[in-house]
Amino acid sequence: MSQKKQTQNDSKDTIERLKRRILFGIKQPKITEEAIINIHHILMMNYGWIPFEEFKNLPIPTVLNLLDKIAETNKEINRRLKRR
Amino acid sequence: MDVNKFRAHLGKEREFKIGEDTFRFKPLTVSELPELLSIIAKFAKAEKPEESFYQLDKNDINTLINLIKKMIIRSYPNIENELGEEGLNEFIANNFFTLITILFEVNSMGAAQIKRPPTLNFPQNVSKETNSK
Repeated sequence: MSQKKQTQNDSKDTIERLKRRILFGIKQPKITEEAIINIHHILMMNYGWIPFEEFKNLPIPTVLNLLDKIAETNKEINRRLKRR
Repeated sequence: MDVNKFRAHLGKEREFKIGEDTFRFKPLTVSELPELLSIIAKFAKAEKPEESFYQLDKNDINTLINLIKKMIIRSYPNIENELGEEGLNEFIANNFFTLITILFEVNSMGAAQIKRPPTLNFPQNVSKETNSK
């Protein structure tokens, strides 16, 4: 598997894991700031540098919508890569 | 045109009815996400929606109250000066279950899954959310 494809798969898995943690089955007894760091990392990977202070002030629905959009894009890229 | 739907996707404030009055509540920001997630995690542990509240302990209730307070103050920045802390707490206490639903709804956290426990017979003082669906 190419490195690019591997990175896209990793990113997709991370987003899916985060979304599952956010919206459904969160099994951990305590959720720490780790989730925020991961979300910040994913957004920066896709949109470039985002100052942490600005990121912390983003409305939650906006961030969730962006994560949805990233997951959707990654899904589409994977679908196209599989076709090749 | 249903502007409220657009507002929801932009992370802007949305209109909700409590009793006969319409309020515009803004979502929380990412800095409050860990606290909100910890509450959602507790709700998610319940097997049935009506059992959700039994998962909460005293700390969770306090966290929930703080989050609701932050949402109200973010939406109405002068409200604490005008009502006083006690007045604001009273408003929250009087509309607690309604405000929890609004908190989850405005932050896109699936409020449809949250139900008040059947043993707590509170008056149903929330009207249908205006133009949001």
